[in-house]
Amino acid sequence: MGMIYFDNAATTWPKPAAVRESAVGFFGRYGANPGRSGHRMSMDTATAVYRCREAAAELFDLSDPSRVVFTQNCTQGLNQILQGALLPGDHLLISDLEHNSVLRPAYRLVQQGRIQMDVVETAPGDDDATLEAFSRAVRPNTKMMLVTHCSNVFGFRMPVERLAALARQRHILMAVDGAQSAGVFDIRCERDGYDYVAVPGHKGLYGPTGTGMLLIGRDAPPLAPMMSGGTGSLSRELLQPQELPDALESGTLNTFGILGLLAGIRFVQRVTTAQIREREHLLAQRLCHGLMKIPGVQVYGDAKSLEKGAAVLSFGVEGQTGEQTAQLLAEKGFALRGGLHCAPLAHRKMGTLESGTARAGIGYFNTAQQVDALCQAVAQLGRR
Amino acid sequence: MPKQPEVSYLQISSITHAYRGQQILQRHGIFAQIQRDSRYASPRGCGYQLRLRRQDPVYARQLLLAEGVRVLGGKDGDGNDLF
Repeated sequence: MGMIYFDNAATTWPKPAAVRESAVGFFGRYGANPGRSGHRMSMDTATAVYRCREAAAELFDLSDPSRVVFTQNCTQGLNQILQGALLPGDHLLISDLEHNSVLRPAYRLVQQGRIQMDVVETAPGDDDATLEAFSRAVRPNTKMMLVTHCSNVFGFRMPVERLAALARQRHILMAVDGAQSAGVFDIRCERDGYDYVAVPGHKGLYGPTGTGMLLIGRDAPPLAPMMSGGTGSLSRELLQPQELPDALESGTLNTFGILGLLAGIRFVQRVTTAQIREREHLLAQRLCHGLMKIPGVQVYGDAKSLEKGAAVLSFGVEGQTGEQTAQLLAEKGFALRGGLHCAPLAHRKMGTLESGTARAGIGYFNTAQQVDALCQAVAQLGRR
Repeated sequence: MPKQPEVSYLQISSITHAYRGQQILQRHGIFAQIQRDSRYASPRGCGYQLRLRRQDPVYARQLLLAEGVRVLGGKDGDGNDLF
């Protein structure tokens, strides 16, 4: 029995043909270390890595490709933002939809007595209220807002563009977790004034796992590096180079992943985020309507919030935990994620902390037939 | 118009900025080749160079500095310091 994949919010699958071909052809041409040597294979690899920075800079509206820093995932980028920007005594604002990739490193800084933090109650669907809540929470020592662009559990989209304007007005740094939005929504770093954006390479950008990027805005203060080491530059100096990306990229890059990511970004640019978004939204709405008709099934969020947000849909089946629902669906050949999705704050907000949810993450390669099949399978679970 | 040197080398701090510098110069109609040749490397270590042919290295350096590309030094084709 073939698998029908709806776990795209964790990582997208399948990958575009060009990404798969990049992986197959990698070692024949790009096996050398970039930025360390002058021989042909090293230079070819370095050229390809730079092409990826250029493509990312174009997609995310950065005029300088050196402000694209490669990371191993979105979590590393978020940790780098928090650990690199916040100083003792600083105050941080995060939303009540944040993933543990923000909550845990931020909480650790709080536990160490280094920073203060407030979790701001958002109002999904009411951007004015969300903005007002953040505005009220700002203190004289507030250094940064770090907000998810879209909830990884419920898909709710936060008004990050307006929050960035608020941050500018109040002289606060604005950081965005683009885990669920990169490749789907437009993230325009310079136009919208984001200081730092962390994105994964393996979700909406369709690259391989183990890839991510930290995008650094034009006017953003330098981040203290989490890691120091060899960069292939200014080797006589004992201090880490201050220039980007070397300041934040120590050690050999994941060139295998980066070249796949380049193919993924080019796929997104060719199809366009607008078309990807439209396709995913249509499928998410179809799924939402289909699940809502099933007795005993509760869908968190509605068609309207799905229209605005990411194509991530959480639901519960009466008498089952999210884990159980996902497991039963896996037995029927459907790949979904069940549980808390590493986002306890979001579940507490929606009253699903105990049960968790089953989560369907729609990707560009899903089809209406697959959505209908999932609805039929869930309906059978409800009748058990 | 003064005669431009046959070749000159601008020492750049990192490979990323070498590519960036190459593009900046290209936008101004200056073709530069990225290379790593120990004869023209900066003593500060691990530098790449932009190799210019029949171009004004001082002007090229100004263009790079204006866009934030650090130039560690410059050499002529005989390995002599230009600035």
